Amino acid sequence: MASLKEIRNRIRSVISTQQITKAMKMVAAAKLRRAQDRILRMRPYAQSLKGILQNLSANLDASQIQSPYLEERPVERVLLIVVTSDRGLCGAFNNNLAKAAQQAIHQQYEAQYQAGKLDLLCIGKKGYEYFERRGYSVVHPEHTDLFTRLDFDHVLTVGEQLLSWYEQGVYDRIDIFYNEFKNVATQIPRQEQLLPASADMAEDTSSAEASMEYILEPSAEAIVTDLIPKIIKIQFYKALLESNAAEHGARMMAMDKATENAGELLRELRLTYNRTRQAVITKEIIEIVSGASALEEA
Amino acid sequence: MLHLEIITPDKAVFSGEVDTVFVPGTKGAFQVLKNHAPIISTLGKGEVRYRVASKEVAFLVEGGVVEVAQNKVRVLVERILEEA
Repeated sequence: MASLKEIRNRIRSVISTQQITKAMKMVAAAKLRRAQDRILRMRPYAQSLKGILQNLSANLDASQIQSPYLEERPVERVLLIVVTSDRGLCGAFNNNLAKAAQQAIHQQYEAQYQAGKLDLLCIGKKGYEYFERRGYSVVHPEHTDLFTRLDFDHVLTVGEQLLSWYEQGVYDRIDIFYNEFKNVATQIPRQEQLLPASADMAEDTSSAEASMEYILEPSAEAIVTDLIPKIIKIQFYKALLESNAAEHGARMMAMDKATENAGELLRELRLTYNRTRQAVITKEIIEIVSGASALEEA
Repeated sequence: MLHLEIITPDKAVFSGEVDTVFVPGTKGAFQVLKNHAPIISTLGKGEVRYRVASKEVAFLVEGGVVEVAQNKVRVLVERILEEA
């Protein structure tokens, strides 16, 4: 059995670990609140944009909309954007997503992968390390640290680069993998097609209210063409915000579990400590008593 | 009075009642007053200005969209370059 001193040391170290995990949980909770706040603030913009688009496309034939971002090409070169976190200690958050992306590479995009025409753009250090270590073609590491300063301005530059890559034919298809924030405890790994934009994003006319007679400047087609890249950029931004919120949610849950486990460990250790202490005392008493009785007998 | 909202993806920059709004439409800048006909227009680079109680505030933007309907003006821009 371990000595009393050893057990005391273990107890002390578990207590300090528990304090750290508890603090990390609090920090994650605060950051989660801020991340959710960001999603809420982005919503009015996204909804207004979609509202206008629906309003306009209700009166438009899909074939009238000309945009380089809608044009479908045979898929030769593929770019997959993998959104993970910069830091660990958030449970299976990064691993689940990396696995999902890897699965897509080896099923959906196996042909392009074998031909060496599949690139990965990792946002978040963890995904970068994961794919780099496994020898995938990871491009543009300068965007990996997008999360250190997450605002639309910053995201915009990357978004515009994606658009121009697609327009110039550098890639024929761009997909994004991210964790969707369902609630604090649940993250769902998702795969979304970013480019070419699916034409049906403009065609959801069922919800379009009785459209008013708008004056349109310069023209309905021109406005829709102008809006499409904006919507793609907001879709990209939304994926990043979702992933950010999901990360803090995952970390909060992981740290909560760790704190709980530490508590359980402490209970057990304290029990062992007291038992050992008692055993030592009992042993001492027995020694004294038997010593005394030996003297008496003599 | 008009209700004006200036929205970016990061936040609502302004929301409130104003007397008039100037926006840099791609086909030429125009002014929105009370009871303006419904209009949707894309914006070019320029100043979005609004006036309330004879005080003027301006923002420099580089493109966006404006929707005017029923005395509600909604300006959607990706970013505000500077507040003048």
